[in-house]
Amino acid sequence: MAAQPSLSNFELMVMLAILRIGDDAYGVSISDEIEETTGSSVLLGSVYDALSRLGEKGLIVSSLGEATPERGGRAKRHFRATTRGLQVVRETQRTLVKLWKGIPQLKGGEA
Amino acid sequence: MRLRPVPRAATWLLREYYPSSPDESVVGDLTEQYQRGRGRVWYWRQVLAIVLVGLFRGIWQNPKGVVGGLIKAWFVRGILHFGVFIVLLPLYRSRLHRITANGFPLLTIGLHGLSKNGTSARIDSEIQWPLTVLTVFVGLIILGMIGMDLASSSRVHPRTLVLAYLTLFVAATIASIATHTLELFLNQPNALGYLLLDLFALPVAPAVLLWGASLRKKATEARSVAF
Repeated sequence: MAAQPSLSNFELMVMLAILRIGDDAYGVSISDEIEETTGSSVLLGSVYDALSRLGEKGLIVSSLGEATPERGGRAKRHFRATTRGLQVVRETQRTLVKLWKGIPQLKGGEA
Repeated sequence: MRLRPVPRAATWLLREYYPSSPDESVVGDLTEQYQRGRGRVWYWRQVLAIVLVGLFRGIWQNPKGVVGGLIKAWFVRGILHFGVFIVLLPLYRSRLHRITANGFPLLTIGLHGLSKNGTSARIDSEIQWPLTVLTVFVGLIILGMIGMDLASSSRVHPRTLVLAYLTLFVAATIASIATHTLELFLNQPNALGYLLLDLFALPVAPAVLLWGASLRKKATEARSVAF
């Protein structure tokens, strides 16, 4: 069995943003989602870079959407998670939850 | 709906030097945000970030190839400058007190013994502007040739190599500006002249390098269409 690809912190954020947004996940909406959730500004360059790496790992696929005048007649590239991508996100969640458990400093939300 | 025209130079840079968007969806994303009220500074910042992130990715994928390509280009430029310097030596002799070996920005050759009387002392004479303009002009031609050479690289993606060279060049010029600004405050002779040259080089030299690379790219594309 091939080893599961690992996700960096930012790649995980991008994957989660894609899953949260659903059908309209593209560069700008992913960047907006991360900005709104984390409260810090995100450079589109880092989002595209993460999208490119996730695509190479086979965790997301993309398709061209509609072109609008507002975009200068250029199409949107929509992204969605693949089955493998979903598996990796679940696995990452399990691993993180396991690591979280049993840390006395984090119990009761006092930290 | 009337659209605001997006910054053309930034869009050109993005189209030419961002590898992952042949369908222009990235340009579309930026255009969309720009039409929603983002400013030119925001647009440029995003473009530079996208291009630089792409550059680091390219370097990360083949660091040895990139370093080798840069060293080669830096040496070729140094050799060309030296060749031109030898040809122009009769003009330089006794006129300029100092020649900056532009191929090697960290190395400034203090030319001793080139004055008419053969003394080895450094002579802080005035900058000879006609000669300086000629030197700058030749330097720009050489830079254009280097751009063409970088764009023909086969070991590393030409885009990565051109951008890596450009980044190094800009960093070296900024360092030079800082040095000459300091010299200006210390009342060193000719510091203002050198500072003006650096300020001229900062936008013009990268434009010439990109122009050379762009010419080579177009020629290669035309050749591939012909075949």
